[in-house]
Amino acid sequence: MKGKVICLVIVLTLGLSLLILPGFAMDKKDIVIGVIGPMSLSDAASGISMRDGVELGIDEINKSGKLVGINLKMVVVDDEGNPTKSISGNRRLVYNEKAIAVIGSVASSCTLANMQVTQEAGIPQITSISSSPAVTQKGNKWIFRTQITDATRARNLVNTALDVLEKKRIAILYISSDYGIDATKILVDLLDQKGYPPVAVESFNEGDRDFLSQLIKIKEKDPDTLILWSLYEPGALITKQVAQMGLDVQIMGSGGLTHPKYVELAGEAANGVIVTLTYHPTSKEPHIRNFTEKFQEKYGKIPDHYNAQAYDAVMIIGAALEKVGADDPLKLRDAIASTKNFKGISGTISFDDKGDSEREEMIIQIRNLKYEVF
Amino acid sequence: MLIVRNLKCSYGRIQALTGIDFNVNQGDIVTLIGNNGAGKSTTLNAICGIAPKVSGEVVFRKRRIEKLSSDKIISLGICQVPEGRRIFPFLTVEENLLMGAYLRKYDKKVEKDKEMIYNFFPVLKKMKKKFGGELSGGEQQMLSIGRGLMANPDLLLFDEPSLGLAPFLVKEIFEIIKEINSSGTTILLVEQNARLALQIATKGYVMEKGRIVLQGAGKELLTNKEVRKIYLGEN
Amino acid sequence: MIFFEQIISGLVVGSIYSLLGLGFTMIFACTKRINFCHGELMALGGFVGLVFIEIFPSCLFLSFVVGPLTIGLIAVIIERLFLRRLQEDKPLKIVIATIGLSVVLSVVMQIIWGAHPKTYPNFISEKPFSFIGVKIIPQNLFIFLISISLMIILQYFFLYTKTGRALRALSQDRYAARLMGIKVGQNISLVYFISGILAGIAGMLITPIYFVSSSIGSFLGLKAFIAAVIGGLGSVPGTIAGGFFLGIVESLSSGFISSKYKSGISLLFLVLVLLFSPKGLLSIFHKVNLLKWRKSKNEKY
Repeated sequence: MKGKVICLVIVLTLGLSLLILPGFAMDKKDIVIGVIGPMSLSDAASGISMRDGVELGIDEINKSGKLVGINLKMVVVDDEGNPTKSISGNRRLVYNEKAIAVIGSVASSCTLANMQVTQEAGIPQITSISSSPAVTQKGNKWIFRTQITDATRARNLVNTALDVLEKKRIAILYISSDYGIDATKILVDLLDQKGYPPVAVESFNEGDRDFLSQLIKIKEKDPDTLILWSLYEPGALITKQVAQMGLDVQIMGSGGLTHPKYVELAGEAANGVIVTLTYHPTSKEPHIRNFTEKFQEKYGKIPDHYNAQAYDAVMIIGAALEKVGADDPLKLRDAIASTKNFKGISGTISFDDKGDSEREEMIIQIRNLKYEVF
Repeated sequence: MLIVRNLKCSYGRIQALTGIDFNVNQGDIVTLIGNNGAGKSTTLNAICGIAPKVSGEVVFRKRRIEKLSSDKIISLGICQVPEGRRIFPFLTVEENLLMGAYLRKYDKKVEKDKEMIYNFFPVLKKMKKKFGGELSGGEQQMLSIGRGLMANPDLLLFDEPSLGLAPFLVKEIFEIIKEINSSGTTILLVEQNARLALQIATKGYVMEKGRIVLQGAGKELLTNKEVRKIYLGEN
Repeated sequence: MIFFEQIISGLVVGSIYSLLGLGFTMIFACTKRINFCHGELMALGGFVGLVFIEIFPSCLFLSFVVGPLTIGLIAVIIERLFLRRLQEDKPLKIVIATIGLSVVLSVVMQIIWGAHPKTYPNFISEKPFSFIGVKIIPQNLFIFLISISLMIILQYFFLYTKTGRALRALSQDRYAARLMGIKVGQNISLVYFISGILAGIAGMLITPIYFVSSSIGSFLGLKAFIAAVIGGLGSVPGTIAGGFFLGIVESLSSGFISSKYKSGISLLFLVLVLLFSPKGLLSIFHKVNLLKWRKSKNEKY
């Protein structure tokens, strides 16, 4: 009889604990971090880089247990690089998934479109890839970015060319789109200020395949450096044609030239090209090495700067949540905005009043078809 | 040589031929006369295999040809000199002639036929390097006939050869037709100029609204009261 | 010297425009229709060339034969399956159908080969050499020579062979051509086959220098079409001249004015030609066109 009672007690306790334990787990509230970006079509690679970075960051935060009572959860929406889909996708994240913060998107046009949704709803958003200056010039206080702006990149390139490489005769070849025109204005101003006005400024149209005319003109001016502000495809074509022509210049490039397809397309001609990046996997600093190793362990590939910038974005959100909790988006936003000297993987990040974080980058040179620290 | 039985033909819903019968004997000049839209050209096209939706029987040398494709029919020896001459404007005179012999193997025989045509039409020889489009109307008609002859046909179909030509040229063309006939080619002639056509024809058929309404020897029809009134413009 | 270098770079681009434009011209001449998926066939040529070069890495020549032939066959299949049914219909239908097909083709290419552009190594060395003081890039010379030889072969084919003559006849008067015993359907397929081969070769030629992507077809196709219209759509020598003309105009205008206006200037020429010589630049020298040849309205056949 006694044995039976003990048995019953044990069974009851077990049963109760089974009922209660998940209750304890549920005590940790699921908080959604939205990720929006192209997961398919032509920009998919960039979107997936962003997603992987965020995913790793969320894992780390959840494991660290720093957020009391909060379990971060990632919800990914594919906008296919299409601004209209980006808007509806962001609505879904904000209103259906109740995201506390959003990371994305990739194309500046998408971010410019979808950040209106988070602004309306009063939810902070960080873009880790969009680089157009316009993103932070709309007076939208809910948008931040861990990506380097084109203005910062232009400054870093000019500084590298003049101060580090000690070049003097700089030519510029840029794509006639918002991306190239805005940046070229900054480049020319900076070069003028520094006393080395560009010797040639030439442009090309989107879709152009033949750049010999421009290059012949540039060659006439005998430059020692060519700053290429371009997307990766025309960038690779130009790099090849520069080599074919026997034009002897140091090519330096915008973000387009850091695209993994760039080296593949340009081949041998890409060797020697200099770019600037926020992150490089060979970096020896302990917290960066730690990230590189963990990323490699989880995804089986070497991370790139897109991974790093996305990781930093989610870590900044994590730090802010730690400070103010997940109850008030406005408080969260203010906490993000007050980020100062955050030791990120992609550099030391401090947001200015627009939400940008201007910072120095690493100088990277392509050697043997690989991006290496200069 | 050519027997047509109950030939019907339609373009879409429009019945252009409502069942016609006629014969062409070896060595004859047979003419189909009638007003615009009577179905004369359609008859020729149906024989040549380029009219859509043909039914009935067309027998050429004891062979049914109404279902054959145009290239087969041409190979059998039927060729058309089309209305409006239809020479190739940007092919030279010589190339136009060679197009006539498209289905034949280009050999000495073709060369000989070409020389024969140049002898027959000396004006073409003179202009052989010129484009077809540069020729005058009469010259184009000669070229068109020459091109038809290059196929080496036994039965040559003429569609309105006098159309748009000056009167003295019309006479010349009809002389040429007679000459071709006398050298052994059978001729089926469609013509609005009924008087001229009936004068050279051994046999004539009068068509009206897709039917044959009258037939007889050429001379006979010339004296027929109806024909004189309607087609020859006499009272 | 810079002037000559610009002219040479224009000639190379122009030879590609000409090669592609010839496809538009031949199809237009024979069917009075414009095949707007021609550019996509070129892109397909680049991708298929890529596949064959991987299959036969040691024998470039073989890829250059098999690749374009494949594209020729694909062009024939497209013509037989889709376009033939519309051939007798209103021209607008064919225009819309081929534009639709071009979208389908480019999506299919994107699905098979991805959205990123692809390339393969140059056929010959990249080192430029000097010829009377003018720098010449071997790869570009190669492209130019191949294109020129193809144009000469094509011109010979049209002028002096029986089939070529028949195609010209067909283009001038389809009804009369049928009366001569020319099989219209078969010959139109032949024209699509030839234009497909040219597009295939163009695609393979441009891949190492311009890269091939699913979007390059519509871009180069449009340029080639403009070139053909400027030179004279439907005329083989006109189209060749138009291609080189457009290439040189583009090169000189980006060399001496600004590349920003490059497309604008070529479109300006297009408008001028359409206004003052709608049959193309070359028709000014072509006396037969001045005869105002009246085309018969009997198009039924």
